Parts: sequence; C-alpha cells; structure tokens
Amino acid sequence: MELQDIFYNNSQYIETASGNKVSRQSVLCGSQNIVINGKTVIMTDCVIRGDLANVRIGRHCVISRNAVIRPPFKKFSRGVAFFPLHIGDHVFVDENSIVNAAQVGSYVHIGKNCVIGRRCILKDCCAIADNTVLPPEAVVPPFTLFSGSPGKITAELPECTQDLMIDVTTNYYQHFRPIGKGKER
Amino acid sequence: MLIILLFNEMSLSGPQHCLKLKCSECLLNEVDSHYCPMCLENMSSSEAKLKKNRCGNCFDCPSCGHTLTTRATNVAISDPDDPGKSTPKKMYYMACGFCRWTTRDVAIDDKTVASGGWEDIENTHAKKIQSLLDYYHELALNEKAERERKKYVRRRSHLYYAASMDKYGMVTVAVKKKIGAMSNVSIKENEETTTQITTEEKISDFPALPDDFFTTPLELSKVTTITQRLASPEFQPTITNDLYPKRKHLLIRKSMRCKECEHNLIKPEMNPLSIKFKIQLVIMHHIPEVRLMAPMEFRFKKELKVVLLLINPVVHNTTVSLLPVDKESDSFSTAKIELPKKEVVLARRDDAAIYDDATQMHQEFKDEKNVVAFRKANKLGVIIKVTPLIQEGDVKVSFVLRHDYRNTAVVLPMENQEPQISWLQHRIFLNLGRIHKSK
Amino acid sequence: MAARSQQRSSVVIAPGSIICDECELVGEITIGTRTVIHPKATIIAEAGPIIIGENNIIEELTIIENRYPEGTENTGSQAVMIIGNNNVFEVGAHIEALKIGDNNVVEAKAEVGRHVELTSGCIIGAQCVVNSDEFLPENTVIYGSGCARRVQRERPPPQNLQIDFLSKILPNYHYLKKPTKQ
Repeated sequence: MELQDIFYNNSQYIETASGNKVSRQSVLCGSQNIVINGKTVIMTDCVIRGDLANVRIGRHCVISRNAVIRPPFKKFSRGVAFFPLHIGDHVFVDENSIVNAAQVGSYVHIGKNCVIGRRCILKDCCAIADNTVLPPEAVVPPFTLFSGSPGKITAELPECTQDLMIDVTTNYYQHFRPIGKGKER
Repeated sequence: MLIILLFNEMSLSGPQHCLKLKCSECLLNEVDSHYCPMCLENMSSSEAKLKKNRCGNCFDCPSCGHTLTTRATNVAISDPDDPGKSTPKKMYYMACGFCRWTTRDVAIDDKTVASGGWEDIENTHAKKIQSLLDYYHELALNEKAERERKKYVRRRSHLYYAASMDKYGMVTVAVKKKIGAMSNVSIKENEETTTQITTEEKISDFPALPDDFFTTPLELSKVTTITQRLASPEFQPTITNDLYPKRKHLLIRKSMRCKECEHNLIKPEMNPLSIKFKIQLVIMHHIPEVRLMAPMEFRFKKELKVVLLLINPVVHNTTVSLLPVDKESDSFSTAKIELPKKEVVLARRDDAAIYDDATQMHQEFKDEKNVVAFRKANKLGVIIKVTPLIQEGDVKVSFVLRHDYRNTAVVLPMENQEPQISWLQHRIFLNLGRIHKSK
Repeated sequence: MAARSQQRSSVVIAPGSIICDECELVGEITIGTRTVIHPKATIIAEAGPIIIGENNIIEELTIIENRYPEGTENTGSQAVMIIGNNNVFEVGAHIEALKIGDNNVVEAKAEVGRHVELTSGCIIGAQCVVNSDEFLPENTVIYGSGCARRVQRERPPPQNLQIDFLSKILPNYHYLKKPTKQ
C-alpha cells in the first residue's frame, strides 16, 4: 500500500536549505559537528551527540522519535577517543532505538527498540528486526536480517532490498508534510 | 502510519528468455560463494569444504553464541637470561562482549600470537569414525566392482562377434576397457582381507546409579544448558569448565536459475561486501507495480471508488489494460469489481526528473476523468469500483493486468532495430482490507 | 506529579563533577566528584534523597528514580538511595534500586527494580529487566533475552580514561551546573 501522509506542525520543524526536516524538540548536541546530507527527516525527541565526535548522516534518511545516535568510544594504547559515526543514504531508524555503531551502511532498516552495541559495523542493505540487542563489535553482512538478544542471523533479505529501501525512504520524505504556516500549538 | 515491510514475498524474479515470473521458492538456488560473516573474507568452495565450512580466524562464544574478540594484555615475563629484569610481553586472550565469557574462565592459556594461535581440540572418536568410514567405503567399491563384473560377463558373446567383424576398430577399445576393469577388480580382491574393523564388545550389565546423584546439591552455574551443549555436537560438554570456543560457520551467497529455461536470473558479485549484482533480473525493474492508494472503509453492498496506483519501472511508455477474470474459476474474490474498459498509458520513468522539482509533464496524455484519478511522473492512479459481496471478513478482488513488455536482453544489435514487444498477462490478487463494522 | 513540584530541589554537587545543564535533577541529590552526567539524564529523588558517589558515568535518557512503590505514596516513608563509585549507567537505563555498590555496569535500556541490591562488579545486560527482590552477589552478569546469568572472573574495568576525555570535551559544548560551595 502506498504510504499515507504524515502531517506535522510547521512551527515544530525546521526545514533547511538542503531539504532536511529537523524537529525543534530533538536534541542535537554539538550541531557544528553534525553533517546531514539532504532530504533527511529527524523527528521529535531524537538525540544526536555531535559533541562526542563527528556524525555524518546521508541523504533521504529517516530518524524516528526517541532514537539516539551516539558515536562509540574506543580505547587506544594512548587513551580514549570517540569514533566518528557515518550513516549512509536511505537509512530508516525506527522509534526508540539506540545506535552506538561505528559505521552504518546505506539502505539499512533498523527496527524499533533496538540496541546497536558499541563499535558495531552494519554493512549496506541489511536489516535489524525490532527489539534486537546487537552485542558490541558485531558485524552485520549485506542482505541479512538480525534479531534476538544477542543478535544473530535469522533470515536473508531479497536481492531488491536496495530498491525497496530507496522507495520507502523517498516516499516517507515526500509524504511528510507540514500543516499550517506558523500556527501556534 | 507505519511502514510494514514484507520481505518474504518481495523476491520475485522475471527471466527474460522464457518470459515467466518466478518466486525465489520455485527457482533453483545454487551456492555462489562462501564468506565469513565476521571477517567478510571470501572463500572458494573447495577451501570451504576443506575447512568444513568454518572460518579460520573467527570464533563463537560457547556461552551465548556471539563472536569472540581478541584482547591483548601486557604480562611481565621474567627474562630467562637476567632473572632480575622482567620484560612486558603482549599476551592475547578471547572475550565475549555480551556475556563476558573469556578463555581464561576455562583455563585456556593466553596465546602469544594475535590470530592463529587457537587450536581445535581433537575429537577422541575421530580415529574410530575414520576407520569406519574407510571400511564402508571399501565395501561400497567392492560391491560396485561385483556389479560391473556381472554386466561384463553377459556381454561377452557380443564382443566376440564384433571382434570377428572388426568393422569399426572397436575391438582395441573394448580390449583396453576389459583390461582396465579386470585390473581394478583383481586388486580389490587382494585388499579385501586386510581392512577389518574391530567390532565393539557388548556390555550386558553396567554399574547402578550411585546414590550421591540424588544427594549432592546441583550447582546451576557449573552445568551447561542444552543449547550450549548441542552447539558442539562432537563433545557435548556437560560442565561449564569444558566449554571451548567454536569456529564461526560460513554463510553463502546464492545465485538463482530458472528451472525451465536454465538461464541465470540472479548472480551476485564475488566480493561479499558488494551489493551490486552481475545479473539482476528482478520483477521490480520490469513489470508495473500495483499498489492500493489509501485504506478504505468498505461496507456491505456499497459501491466504493478505489484508487489503484500503477508504477511503471521501465524507460518506455507502457500500455496497460485491466481485464476481468472469468467468474466461475475465481474462488478468491469476495467483491464485485468494475474495471475501466479502455487501456491506459503509463508514462516512462525518467530518472533525471527527480532532481527537477518542478515536475513538468513533457508528454501530454488524454486521460478520462472517471478512469484516471491523477498522474505524476511514472505513476498513475486508476479508479476501479468495488462492491463487497460479504458482510464480514476481508474484501478481496482479482483481475488480470495486461501490459506490453519490451525484451531488451535478447536483442541482437545487428539484426533488429526495434526490440521485441510482447504482451504479458498477470493475474493480480488484491486484499483491500476488512469490511468496516458499522455500529 | 504534584509532589515533585512541591519539593525544593536541593542538589549538592561536589567540585570536579561534570553535570550538563540539560539534565533534570529533582529533589535532594548529592553528587560526588568526577561524576559525569550527560544531557537529557533524569534524576528524581521523590521518596527520599539520592546519594551518588564518585567516578560514575550517567549517560543520556537514563532515569534514576527514588520513587514510592505503587500504593504507598502517602505513607511518607523515606528511604535513601545510595549509588557507589565507578558505576556506568548506559543510555536509556531505568534504575530504582536502593543500594548500588561499586564498579557496576547497567547497560542500555535495562531496568533495575527497587528491591534489587547490586554489590560490586555486576553487569546488567542490555534490555534486561531485573525486578526480583534479591541481593546479587559480586561479579554477576545478567544477559540475554531470558535474563540468563553467570559469574564472571574479573570485575569490569573502571572508566577513568573515558571520564578524563569527557571532562575535557563536554564543557566545550554544554553549559554545566556549577558546584555548590561548601
């Protein structure tokens, strides 16, 4: 079925020049270190910790409510540092998930209430089911579906996953429409 | 409105040679390559067979199943020459990030090498199993030789006749074959007596269950769970001190082939990280997609105008017509459907138009208002009228989608300038939702 | 909810601790030195004071609550919640336990009930809900969807290096709550 329109109050969201729709109620710490490439939707109550390290999010991503995007930290021989976090294009992060990964590829679908452990690597075209806990340093290969706690491979994704994710994320962005201009709540 | 992704039904492939649609279940799945899910290293099939489909470097935690990571510690080892000084040396152990199991828990020594230092435990039954395998292998060969000898005996008369004729020079060939077969059989006869397996002794009575089995308290932390036990079937450790890291199992990339025309439909790249395909004939790229536009409220015997969204994936204009299904053979429908009588034309997909925000329709189409709800780029909204015939349950309709298809794969550039146009028909089954219960 | 607004927030912050201004502190709270509290953390001392030790890390969206159990709201029995040193409370954890020792790790989205007592070196895994009335011995690890448990050999390492790093970079991006003068 085709996605239905999701309306948001125009005063609640900021639309940037490159087409990003960012909620005013989301917490973007260290916004100078956060790069969002365009046409991404960031919904209410999200937390993006750009103060710890650089965060780069690709085009047409959707970060749903209450999600936490947090760069992981790594112990080196000389100390500790927070790794920059790169999220690819057309990534859908569903509600309440915590993404502590080192790298998230493109065309990835992360379900609701997931916990992606520290320094995990999610490659392109993979999916994480709802309520999964991915332990630290897990690697998710392309075209796999992980679920459970600890997250293990439970299914394989079809070969057209890339087109499906492009379809889902671009339609979500197109149907995410404002109502009213400057209406007060 | 939340997105529901159906991953199981979406993998439909359309071969371009026999023009049929297949789902991933009815295709021939073949193993393309093996790779380790952790280090993402590609392995050929022969190498995988040698290593019993396990990775050489990666291990699984025996306690929870997650991958083990190698960690380094600095251990001060006293220098053998100079007993006063101690040089710090790096020792490696493996630990699980999920359940915090480490190799030190089961008293495995730390290794000096980061990778490759972990050996497998040898199975005590391995020798016995191997001797059994050899014995039965020989038995099988012997039986095969017996069968060949019988066949050979019957044919002898034919050979003599042919030998006298010797028209085609087949005699030398036959004689060579005969010598070869005979030599095989004779060698095996000699060896048969050498390999014998020791039969096991029968045990007629065994000691009774000791009484302290019932009296000693059970320490749950020392006993393994059944999942942990069965994860390594050769050893099946009963106490947690016997748990050993297991090598990680390999995953495969598959290629799919049509059973009827033997052509490859999906062939992935060699690199397991790549999401591109060498051959990718997926239905989403060739056949127009039918989607329901919005959820509707259906009521018994009330006609409703439903908008279906048709999406054209190819770069040519496609002519589509919706045809009704024969009523007697239709056991799926629970509603009466009224389809548009004329054909509609779907605009071609224009990738450049995405970046052009002002969507200018470069092609003009004459659309009837009661057939076409809207037109946007390569999408078209078609109005059909649905009248549910049941009071409760799901409203289901079915019809036939007929469209033209340009087969661009088999075109020989020299002969034909125009690609072949063929008309394809597909039976579409739609579940439009539940009947709205009026209060 | 009404009780919260009536209480005056008396928060005692030791010097050397890094507490971002965007976190919510309600009630009588004492925070030790070198403790890092990330933005969007919530600490509510409704049914008694909360005493937090040194060298702890409390990440965002965690809720540390000393609240009345269901139905006993008007008895007025106050109980002090004591959290020791070197603990780590990861993103989204929900803690109501009254006694937490040292060197524990409560992972993301875990829930610890009021009557659980964590000693030292315990690790509550991600998304595990521990609501029983019990005393967890040292070095217990609770993990997995069925809350399986086992005992680990060594306690988790202290996060001093991370605290040092955070003390340097968090002031660059956030307003911090000032330590109370003694």
